[in-house]
Amino acid sequence: MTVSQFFLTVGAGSLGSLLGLSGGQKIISPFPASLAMVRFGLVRRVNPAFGRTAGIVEALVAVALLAAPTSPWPLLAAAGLGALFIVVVSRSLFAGKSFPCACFGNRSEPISVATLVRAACVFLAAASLAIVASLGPPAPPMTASLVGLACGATLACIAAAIAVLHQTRPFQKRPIVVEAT
Amino acid sequence: MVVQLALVAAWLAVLSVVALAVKRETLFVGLSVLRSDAVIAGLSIGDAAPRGLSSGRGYRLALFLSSDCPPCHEFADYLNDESIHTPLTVAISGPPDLASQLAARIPRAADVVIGEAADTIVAAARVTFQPFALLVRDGIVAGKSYPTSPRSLELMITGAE
Repeated sequence: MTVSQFFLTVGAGSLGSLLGLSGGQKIISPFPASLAMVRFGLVRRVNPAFGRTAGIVEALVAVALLAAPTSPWPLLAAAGLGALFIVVVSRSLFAGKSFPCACFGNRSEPISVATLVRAACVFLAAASLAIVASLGPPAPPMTASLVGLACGATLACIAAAIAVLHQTRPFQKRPIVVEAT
Repeated sequence: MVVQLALVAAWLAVLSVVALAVKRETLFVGLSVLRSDAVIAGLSIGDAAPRGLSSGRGYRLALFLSSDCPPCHEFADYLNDESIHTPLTVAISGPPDLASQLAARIPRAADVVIGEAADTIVAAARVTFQPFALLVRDGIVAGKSYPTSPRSLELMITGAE
């Protein structure tokens, strides 16, 4: 397995898992994404069908990434999603808005510069991997490809778990509130 | 070599599933803590209900929704005329454009309050987390809960009885 093949499979595994998690969340629970789409100015009414459609698009790109990790087309589609996200987030940030964007499977975190940086990282990773893939490296053996994809998926899942731990801080000491009667 | 690589891939896949399980359980614990804090923060059982909810005798349910809270939109989708067996007041706070969209989805059988009037009721009821429900009997708070479906509203009345 060459270095480019390794980066392609790990990258596709990470991006595919990230989009798969995000898309799956939108399909199961479409209201946060539907509400975010209204706040982004993409649609006028809160309709769960819009959120579910966005989830299906993300899930399809995820499946394509995992099925064909060395093809440039799914990577270009992922870069396109990243670019779209950069545009809507930066437009809202410049307008001074702050609301939960239901992005990357996170329902409650409001948009901020960190959201924009994360979207830019996804875009840059997908775009640079698409360029590498378009140079036409030979497809890696099946087992090596599986290891690369699993490695990428593990990275994405651990990142998602750390993000939730950071957000909810379940092990933080909390004051015990006793209601007076 | 192939078998070893396959084992590594399987091991990484298991690790991914474990990370996802940690994420899911952590979210669940975090949400449970938020919900219990919200129930403690609201009016106490036995307190006088805020004006606007205290009129009339018998039971009245007060449902607090926020127009920028996704679970509130989801909850409104569950409501229909058949699911309302007790007089219901729905106070919708949050951005006005979204509040009127949310109000349009509430069944006609319910009294809907939006705008400043809703903000006043929400502040008086000390609601910090939505959706939130209060059960009022003869002007006195008889129950409070974080509802997840119309069935949880019914259970509040059963519990109070």
